[in-house]
Amino acid sequence: VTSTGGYAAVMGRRSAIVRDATGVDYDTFARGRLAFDYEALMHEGGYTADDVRTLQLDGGVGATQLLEARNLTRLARRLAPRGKGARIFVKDEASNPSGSFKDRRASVSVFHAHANGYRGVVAATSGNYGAAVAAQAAHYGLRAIVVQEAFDGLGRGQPEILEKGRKCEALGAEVVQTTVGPELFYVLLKTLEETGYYNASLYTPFSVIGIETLGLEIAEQTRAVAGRAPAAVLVTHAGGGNVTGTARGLRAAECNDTQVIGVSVDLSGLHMASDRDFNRKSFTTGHTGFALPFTGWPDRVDLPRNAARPLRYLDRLVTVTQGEVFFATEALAQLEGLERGPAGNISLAAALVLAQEYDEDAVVVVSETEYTGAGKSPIAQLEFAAGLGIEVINGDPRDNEPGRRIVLPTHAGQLRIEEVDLDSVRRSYLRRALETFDPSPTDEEIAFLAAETRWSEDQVGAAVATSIGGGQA
Amino acid sequence: VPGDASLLIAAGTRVQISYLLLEPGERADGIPADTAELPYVARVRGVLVAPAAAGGRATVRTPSGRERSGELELIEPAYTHSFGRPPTALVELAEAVRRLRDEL
Repeated sequence: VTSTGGYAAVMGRRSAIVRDATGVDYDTFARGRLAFDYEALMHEGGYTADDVRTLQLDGGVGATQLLEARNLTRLARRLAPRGKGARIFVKDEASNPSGSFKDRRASVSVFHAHANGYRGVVAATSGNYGAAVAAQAAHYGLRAIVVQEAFDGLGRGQPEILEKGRKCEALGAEVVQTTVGPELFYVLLKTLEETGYYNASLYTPFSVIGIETLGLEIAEQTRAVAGRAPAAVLVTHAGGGNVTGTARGLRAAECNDTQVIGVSVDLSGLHMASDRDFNRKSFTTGHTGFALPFTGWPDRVDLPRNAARPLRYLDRLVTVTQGEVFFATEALAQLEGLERGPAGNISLAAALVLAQEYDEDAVVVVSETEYTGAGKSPIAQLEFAAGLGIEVINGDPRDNEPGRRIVLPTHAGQLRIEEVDLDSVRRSYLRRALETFDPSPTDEEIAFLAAETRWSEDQVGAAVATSIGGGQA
Repeated sequence: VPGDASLLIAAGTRVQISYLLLEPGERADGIPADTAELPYVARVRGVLVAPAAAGGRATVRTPSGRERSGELELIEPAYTHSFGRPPTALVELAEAVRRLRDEL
């Protein structure tokens, strides 16, 4: 390790490295210290919705089917009060080129990189996004490097992560696999600096506008098949891009009464940067370990400002247990004939419960599926968990304990959702904003914070006054 | 035997190398103790640009076309993740779902 390549030295150059590797000057969007012009950032590059749809279709991305899950609807109705039990639809994003909705995110980013003369792209991700970047890089003839947190200190990796690494290599990417730690960002910066490649971050405006077509398609297809807008769209929630992009697309399609409901797997008790806990999650994304910190403070990313700002768009945020997601995965396979990967099934588990809240003629949409296979199936994840000493049993999902015990329900009536108190998340966001930038916000900054939290300016003002007054609730 | 060419892995062979990124003392502040006490290590796969010995220093050309150097860890590494063996509780869950199929 040389002095110029050491951790502190590289991190010290982060702003310049990121600016050169994204071509976005975030300073131009700043409005004072705290606020920034979010819509102007989202229009960086000048891509219209039609531009995005055209370039995605050219790359084989999007225009996926919206499938009605009739047997799962019947199952939910058996548990619902008379007249309740919305029709459940599933957006089959597994049919994108690399097998997930992440192709939408990668498509605009890699197009932008290509159009701006970059010879390659780099992405730091353990998820499907790496495969999507690799696929789009192949489409545009660019080189791809995926940096992946993959192994614990003993060299063991979750089968799902190993599969995602294989997929990236199959699509022509170099895969740099690291042990556990937040220093993944340091590896990303070093790689960007050494190669001069484009930073295909998950959190650029290009990544998020690429998802808006998902919301638009859900709106169009639901209206076509059911003659109405969805009552609710259930979005598996981690870093916030999926919620943000899908909700923006729904808004653009004037689905003004559609509830956007984020769904995450509850991984409470597991530390995201712990070497020991790393392999004990049995999920690699869509979990509370990402969802809660990113919802409460989106700017904890590899860019100055995150284009994914879920608190602006979430109507509700709910959690489900690990075991409930495995139930949903089996139900989708064996009751609908759709063997799909884990991410969308997090929302599907919640859909079996939430559909019971809505009238029978209403529609709830699960916004994604993903591809599955070796490493990604419940069998692989559960066998791996059992090998680490995690108990895998049948019973009440309330007895599920992440990292210690996975409880698989055996009937749908055992499934429940837990509501996350979004007001508590909003207060947490406001505290962080004030700590970071300014303890006494101006009226303009109060207006920005209101837009960020979907609270009124009065509510924000009152919360700020409490916070400044020492009421660290 | 040092210098014995017959023990070297041929150039062009697909291998996995590992290399140190950060020593335990160089790691980010605020990470959990179980992580902080470990070195931060990377692994990458590519083809050998020159003959090298297993366990020795090696340079590979990766699929992105760049060269990386480190310890030659695996020769012709396999993808060993699989579908696996269904645990009993998952078999029970699958049975329960099939009963639903007949009832719905």
